[in-house]
Amino acid sequence: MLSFALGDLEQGERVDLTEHLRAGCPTCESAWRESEATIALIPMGLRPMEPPKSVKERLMAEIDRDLRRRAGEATDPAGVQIIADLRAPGVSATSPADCGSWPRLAAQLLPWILVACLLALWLQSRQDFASLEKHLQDAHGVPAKP
Amino acid sequence: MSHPDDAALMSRVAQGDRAAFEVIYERYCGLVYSLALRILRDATTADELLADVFLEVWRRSDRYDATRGAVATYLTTLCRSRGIDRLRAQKRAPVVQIGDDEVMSAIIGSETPDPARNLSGNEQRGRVLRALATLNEDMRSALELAFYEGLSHSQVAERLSKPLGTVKTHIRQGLIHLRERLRMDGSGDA
Repeated sequence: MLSFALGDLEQGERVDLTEHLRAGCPTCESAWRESEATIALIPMGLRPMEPPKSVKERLMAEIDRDLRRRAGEATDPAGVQIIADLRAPGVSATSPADCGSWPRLAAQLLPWILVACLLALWLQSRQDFASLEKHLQDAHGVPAKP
Repeated sequence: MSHPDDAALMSRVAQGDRAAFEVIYERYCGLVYSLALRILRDATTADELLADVFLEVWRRSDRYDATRGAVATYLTTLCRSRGIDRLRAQKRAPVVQIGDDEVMSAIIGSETPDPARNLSGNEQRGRVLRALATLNEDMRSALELAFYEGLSHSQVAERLSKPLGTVKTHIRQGLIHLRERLRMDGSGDA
Protein backbone atom coordinates (compact mmCIF):
# COMPACT_ATOMS: atom_id res chain seq x y z
CA MET A 1 0.00 0.00 0.00
CA LEU A 2 2.91 2.33 0.73
CA SER A 3 4.32 1.69 -2.75
CA PHE A 4 0.92 2.41 -4.24
CA ALA A 5 0.65 5.69 -2.36
CA LEU A 6 4.17 6.56 -3.48
CA GLY A 7 3.19 5.83 -7.07
CA ASP A 8 5.64 3.01 -7.53
CA LEU A 9 3.59 -0.04 -8.42
CA GLU A 10 3.76 -1.82 -11.74
CA GLN A 11 0.90 -0.95 -14.09
CA GLY A 12 -0.90 -4.25 -13.58
CA GLU A 13 -0.63 -4.11 -9.79
CA ARG A 14 -1.76 -0.49 -9.83
CA VAL A 15 -4.86 -1.29 -11.88
CA ASP A 16 -5.72 -4.26 -9.66
CA LEU A 17 -5.35 -2.27 -6.47
CA THR A 18 -7.29 0.69 -7.88
CA GLU A 19 -10.15 -1.64 -8.77
CA HIS A 20 -9.98 -3.18 -5.33
CA LEU A 21 -10.20 0.24 -3.69
CA ARG A 22 -13.06 1.26 -5.98
CA ALA A 23 -14.88 -1.89 -4.92
CA GLY A 24 -14.92 -0.36 -1.44
CA CYS A 25 -12.66 -2.44 0.78
CA PRO A 26 -12.65 -0.39 4.01
CA THR A 27 -9.47 -1.97 5.42
CA CYS A 28 -7.41 -1.26 2.32
CA GLU A 29 -8.87 2.21 1.89
CA SER A 30 -7.96 3.06 5.45
CA ALA A 31 -4.41 1.73 4.93
CA TRP A 32 -4.12 3.67 1.66
CA ARG A 33 -5.26 6.93 3.24
CA GLU A 34 -2.87 6.47 6.13
CA SER A 35 0.00 5.80 3.72
CA GLU A 36 -0.87 8.85 1.66
CA ALA A 37 -1.02 10.97 4.79
CA THR A 38 2.38 9.72 5.95
CA ILE A 39 3.99 10.39 2.59
CA ALA A 40 2.41 13.83 2.36
CA LEU A 41 3.98 14.72 5.70
CA ILE A 42 7.54 14.27 4.41
CA PRO A 43 7.85 17.81 2.98
CA MET A 44 6.58 19.28 6.25
CA GLY A 45 10.17 18.89 7.41
CA LEU A 46 11.36 21.40 4.82
CA ARG A 47 12.25 24.86 6.02
CA PRO A 48 9.72 27.27 4.49
CA MET A 49 11.43 29.65 2.05
CA GLU A 50 10.14 33.06 1.08
CA PRO A 51 9.25 33.12 -2.63
CA PRO A 52 9.91 36.24 -4.73
CA LYS A 53 7.25 38.93 -4.38
CA SER A 54 6.87 38.96 -8.16
CA VAL A 55 5.27 35.47 -8.05
CA LYS A 56 2.45 36.72 -5.86
CA GLU A 57 2.02 39.85 -7.97
CA ARG A 58 1.68 37.82 -11.17
CA LEU A 59 -0.63 35.33 -9.47
CA MET A 60 -2.94 37.97 -8.03
CA ALA A 61 -3.04 39.78 -11.39
CA GLU A 62 -4.16 36.51 -12.99
CA ILE A 63 -6.80 36.06 -10.31
CA ASP A 64 -8.06 39.60 -10.86
CA ARG A 65 -8.39 38.79 -14.58
CA ASP A 66 -10.35 35.65 -13.67
CA LEU A 67 -12.63 37.67 -11.42
CA ARG A 68 -13.27 40.29 -14.12
CA ARG A 69 -13.99 37.52 -16.61
CA ARG A 70 -16.43 35.85 -14.20
CA ALA A 71 -18.08 39.21 -13.45
CA GLY A 72 -18.46 39.90 -17.17
CA GLU A 73 -20.02 36.50 -17.77
CA ALA A 74 -22.35 36.90 -14.82
CA THR A 75 -23.60 40.41 -15.64
CA ASP A 76 -23.82 40.35 -19.43
CA PRO A 77 -24.60 36.90 -20.77
CA ALA A 78 -26.46 38.38 -23.78
CA GLY A 79 -23.44 40.48 -24.70
CA VAL A 80 -21.25 37.41 -24.56
CA GLN A 81 -23.65 35.60 -26.93
CA ILE A 82 -23.71 38.50 -29.41
CA ILE A 83 -19.94 38.59 -29.49
CA ALA A 84 -19.87 34.81 -29.83
CA ASP A 85 -22.24 35.04 -32.81
CA LEU A 86 -20.06 37.66 -34.47
CA ARG A 87 -17.02 35.47 -34.23
CA ALA A 88 -15.85 33.35 -37.10
CA PRO A 89 -16.78 29.67 -36.83
CA GLY A 90 -14.35 27.75 -34.69
CA VAL A 91 -13.33 30.75 -32.62
CA SER A 92 -14.25 30.12 -29.04
CA ALA A 93 -16.46 32.61 -27.26
CA THR A 94 -15.10 34.25 -24.17
CA SER A 95 -16.18 37.09 -21.99
CA PRO A 96 -15.95 40.68 -23.23
CA ALA A 97 -13.86 41.29 -20.17
CA ASP A 98 -11.20 39.23 -21.84
CA CYS A 99 -9.22 42.12 -23.23
CA GLY A 100 -7.31 39.90 -25.62
CA SER A 101 -10.51 39.13 -27.60
CA TRP A 102 -11.27 42.74 -28.65
CA PRO A 103 -8.42 43.14 -31.15
CA ARG A 104 -9.43 39.87 -32.80
CA LEU A 105 -13.03 40.97 -32.97
CA ALA A 106 -12.01 44.31 -34.47
CA ALA A 107 -9.86 42.53 -37.06
CA GLN A 108 -12.80 40.34 -38.04
CA LEU A 109 -15.14 43.33 -38.39
CA LEU A 110 -12.65 45.54 -40.30
CA PRO A 111 -13.26 44.07 -43.81
CA TRP A 112 -17.02 44.54 -43.38
CA ILE A 113 -16.54 48.13 -42.28
CA LEU A 114 -14.32 48.80 -45.33
CA VAL A 115 -16.90 47.30 -47.70
CA ALA A 116 -19.62 49.45 -46.13
CA CYS A 117 -17.49 52.58 -46.52
CA LEU A 118 -16.75 51.80 -50.19
CA LEU A 119 -20.43 51.20 -50.85
CA ALA A 120 -21.33 54.52 -49.24
CA LEU A 121 -18.68 56.32 -51.31
CA TRP A 122 -19.92 54.70 -54.50
CA LEU A 123 -23.53 55.70 -53.78
CA GLN A 124 -22.44 59.24 -52.93
CA SER A 125 -20.36 59.60 -56.11
CA ARG A 126 -23.27 58.25 -58.19
CA GLN A 127 -25.56 60.88 -56.73
CA ASP A 128 -22.95 63.59 -57.36
CA PHE A 129 -22.54 62.44 -60.97
CA ALA A 130 -26.30 62.45 -61.55
CA SER A 131 -26.68 65.97 -60.21
CA LEU A 132 -23.72 67.19 -62.30
CA GLU A 133 -25.23 65.67 -65.41
CA LYS A 134 -28.54 67.38 -64.67
CA HIS A 135 -26.76 70.67 -64.12
CA LEU A 136 -24.99 70.39 -67.48
CA GLN A 137 -28.22 69.53 -69.23
CA ASP A 138 -29.90 72.55 -67.74
CA ALA A 139 -26.99 74.85 -68.58
CA HIS A 140 -26.51 73.77 -72.21
CA GLY A 141 -30.02 72.79 -73.11
CA VAL A 142 -29.04 69.28 -73.95
CA PRO A 143 -32.04 67.04 -73.96
CA ALA A 144 -32.08 64.45 -71.29
CA LYS A 145 -31.20 60.93 -72.27
CA PRO A 146 -34.20 58.73 -72.72
CA MET B 1 0.07 22.95 9.36
CA SER B 2 -3.54 22.41 10.12
CA HIS B 3 -5.54 25.48 11.02
CA PRO B 4 -9.09 25.39 12.22
CA ASP B 5 -10.11 27.92 9.61
CA ASP B 6 -8.24 26.47 6.61
CA ALA B 7 -11.23 24.49 5.42
CA ALA B 8 -13.48 27.52 5.82
CA LEU B 9 -11.00 29.60 3.83
CA MET B 10 -10.96 27.01 1.06
CA SER B 11 -14.72 27.05 1.01
CA ARG B 12 -14.63 30.83 0.52
CA VAL B 13 -11.98 30.43 -2.19
CA ALA B 14 -14.38 28.09 -4.00
CA GLN B 15 -16.88 30.95 -4.03
CA GLY B 16 -14.31 33.27 -5.62
CA ASP B 17 -13.18 35.06 -2.47
CA ARG B 18 -9.92 36.78 -3.40
CA ALA B 19 -9.06 37.76 0.19
CA ALA B 20 -9.45 34.16 1.42
CA PHE B 21 -7.18 32.99 -1.38
CA GLU B 22 -4.57 35.55 -0.39
CA VAL B 23 -4.61 34.30 3.20
CA ILE B 24 -4.10 30.71 2.03
CA TYR B 25 -1.26 31.85 -0.22
CA GLU B 26 0.48 33.80 2.52
CA ARG B 27 0.09 30.92 4.92
CA TYR B 28 1.48 28.20 2.70
CA CYS B 29 3.58 29.80 -0.02
CA GLY B 30 6.79 29.23 1.98
CA LEU B 31 6.12 25.51 2.37
CA VAL B 32 5.08 25.00 -1.26
CA TYR B 33 8.01 27.07 -2.54
CA SER B 34 10.56 25.12 -0.51
CA LEU B 35 9.10 21.88 -1.86
CA ALA B 36 9.13 23.23 -5.43
CA LEU B 37 12.78 24.22 -5.02
CA ARG B 38 13.64 20.85 -3.50
CA ILE B 39 12.03 18.96 -6.39
CA LEU B 40 13.14 21.14 -9.30
CA ARG B 41 16.34 22.65 -7.87
CA ASP B 42 15.94 25.64 -10.10
CA ALA B 43 14.60 28.96 -8.90
CA THR B 44 12.90 30.01 -12.15
CA THR B 45 10.95 26.80 -12.63
CA ALA B 46 10.18 26.68 -8.91
CA ASP B 47 8.59 30.13 -9.24
CA GLU B 48 6.47 28.82 -12.12
CA LEU B 49 5.50 25.70 -10.19
CA LEU B 50 4.49 27.74 -7.16
CA ALA B 51 2.26 29.94 -9.32
CA ASP B 52 0.81 26.89 -11.12
CA VAL B 53 -0.08 25.16 -7.85
CA PHE B 54 -1.87 28.17 -6.39
CA LEU B 55 -3.58 28.98 -9.66
CA GLU B 56 -4.91 25.42 -9.69
CA VAL B 57 -6.07 25.90 -6.10
CA TRP B 58 -7.96 29.00 -7.24
CA ARG B 59 -9.45 27.57 -10.40
CA ARG B 60 -10.11 24.02 -9.17
CA SER B 61 -10.88 24.72 -5.53
CA ASP B 62 -13.83 22.32 -5.76
CA ARG B 63 -11.30 19.50 -5.86
CA TYR B 64 -10.25 20.08 -2.26
CA ASP B 65 -12.06 17.74 0.11
CA ALA B 66 -11.63 18.74 3.75
CA THR B 67 -12.59 15.25 4.90
CA ARG B 68 -9.57 13.76 3.14
CA GLY B 69 -6.89 15.86 4.77
CA ALA B 70 -5.43 19.18 5.73
CA VAL B 71 -4.91 22.02 3.26
CA ALA B 72 -1.15 21.74 3.73
CA THR B 73 -1.29 18.08 2.72
CA TYR B 74 -3.41 18.91 -0.31
CA LEU B 75 -0.97 21.62 -1.37
CA THR B 76 2.16 19.53 -0.94
CA THR B 77 0.59 16.58 -2.73
CA LEU B 78 -0.40 18.84 -5.61
CA CYS B 79 3.03 20.48 -5.71
CA ARG B 80 4.84 17.13 -5.68
CA SER B 81 2.64 15.74 -8.42
CA ARG B 82 3.00 18.78 -10.70
CA GLY B 83 6.71 19.11 -9.91
CA ILE B 84 7.47 15.51 -10.81
CA ASP B 85 5.40 15.92 -13.99
CA ARG B 86 7.68 18.82 -14.89
CA LEU B 87 10.81 16.82 -14.11
CA ARG B 88 9.60 13.98 -16.31
CA ALA B 89 8.59 16.34 -19.09
CA GLN B 90 12.03 17.87 -19.09
CA LYS B 91 13.43 14.33 -19.46
CA ARG B 92 16.57 15.25 -17.69
CA ALA B 93 18.15 14.70 -14.34
CA PRO B 94 17.52 17.66 -12.08
CA VAL B 95 20.12 20.37 -12.64
CA VAL B 96 21.68 21.30 -9.34
CA GLN B 97 21.60 25.07 -9.34
CA ILE B 98 21.21 25.25 -5.60
CA GLY B 99 24.05 23.87 -3.53
CA ASP B 100 23.45 20.63 -1.71
CA ASP B 101 24.18 22.41 1.56
CA GLU B 102 21.35 24.81 0.85
CA VAL B 103 19.04 21.96 -0.01
CA MET B 104 19.94 20.17 3.19
CA SER B 105 19.46 23.33 5.21
CA ALA B 106 16.03 23.62 3.65
CA ILE B 107 15.33 20.11 4.88
CA ILE B 108 16.73 20.26 8.37
CA GLY B 109 16.99 24.00 9.03
CA SER B 110 15.08 25.57 11.87
CA GLU B 111 14.44 29.13 10.72
CA THR B 112 11.32 30.38 9.02
CA PRO B 113 10.97 33.72 7.24
CA ASP B 114 8.13 34.63 9.55
CA PRO B 115 8.07 32.57 12.74
CA ALA B 116 4.88 34.24 13.93
CA ARG B 117 3.07 33.36 10.74
CA ASN B 118 2.32 29.78 11.50
CA LEU B 119 2.74 28.39 14.97
CA SER B 120 0.85 25.16 14.46
CA GLY B 121 2.78 24.68 11.23
CA ASN B 122 6.00 24.96 13.18
CA GLU B 123 4.76 22.47 15.73
CA GLN B 124 3.92 19.96 13.04
CA ARG B 125 7.21 20.61 11.32
CA GLY B 126 8.97 19.90 14.60
CA ARG B 127 7.23 16.54 14.85
CA VAL B 128 8.12 15.63 11.28
CA LEU B 129 11.74 16.70 11.79
CA ARG B 130 11.99 14.58 14.91
CA ALA B 131 10.53 11.62 13.06
CA LEU B 132 12.82 12.13 10.05
CA ALA B 133 15.83 12.40 12.36
CA THR B 134 15.19 8.86 13.60
CA LEU B 135 15.53 7.40 10.10
CA ASN B 136 18.90 5.95 9.25
CA GLU B 137 20.79 7.35 6.28
CA ASP B 138 19.83 4.48 3.96
CA MET B 139 16.13 4.93 4.64
CA ARG B 140 16.32 8.70 4.39
CA SER B 141 18.22 8.83 1.09
CA ALA B 142 16.00 6.17 -0.53
CA LEU B 143 12.85 7.93 0.63
CA GLU B 144 14.03 11.34 -0.51
CA LEU B 145 14.88 10.11 -3.99
CA ALA B 146 11.50 8.40 -4.29
CA PHE B 147 9.57 11.32 -2.87
CA TYR B 148 11.31 14.41 -4.19
CA GLU B 149 12.47 13.14 -7.55
CA GLY B 150 9.65 10.72 -8.23
CA LEU B 151 12.08 7.92 -9.00
CA SER B 152 10.81 4.36 -9.18
CA HIS B 153 12.32 1.83 -6.81
CA SER B 154 14.48 0.54 -9.66
CA GLN B 155 15.77 4.02 -10.42
CA VAL B 156 16.50 4.65 -6.76
CA ALA B 157 18.44 1.37 -6.64
CA GLU B 158 20.44 2.43 -9.68
CA ARG B 159 21.12 5.88 -8.29
CA LEU B 160 22.28 4.52 -4.93
CA SER B 161 24.09 1.54 -6.47
CA LYS B 162 22.19 -0.85 -4.24
CA PRO B 163 20.17 -3.99 -4.94
CA LEU B 164 16.51 -3.38 -5.77
CA GLY B 165 15.31 -5.56 -2.91
CA THR B 166 17.40 -3.61 -0.42
CA VAL B 167 16.03 -0.30 -1.66
CA LYS B 168 12.45 -1.56 -1.48
CA THR B 169 13.07 -2.64 2.09
CA HIS B 170 14.60 0.72 3.01
CA ILE B 171 11.68 2.66 1.54
CA ARG B 172 9.08 0.43 3.09
CA GLN B 173 10.73 0.35 6.49
CA GLY B 174 11.42 4.07 6.34
CA LEU B 175 7.77 4.91 5.71
CA ILE B 176 6.53 2.48 8.36
CA HIS B 177 9.03 3.88 10.82
CA LEU B 178 8.00 7.44 9.96
CA ARG B 179 4.33 6.59 10.34
CA GLU B 180 4.86 4.96 13.71
CA ARG B 181 6.97 7.83 15.00
CA LEU B 182 4.43 10.40 13.88
CA ARG B 183 1.63 8.39 15.40
CA MET B 184 3.50 8.19 18.70
CA ASP B 185 4.20 11.92 18.55
CA GLY B 186 0.54 12.72 17.97
CA SER B 187 0.82 14.04 14.42
CA GLY B 188 -2.04 12.22 12.92
CA ASP B 189 -3.48 15.12 11.08
CA ALA B 190 -2.87 14.94 7.39
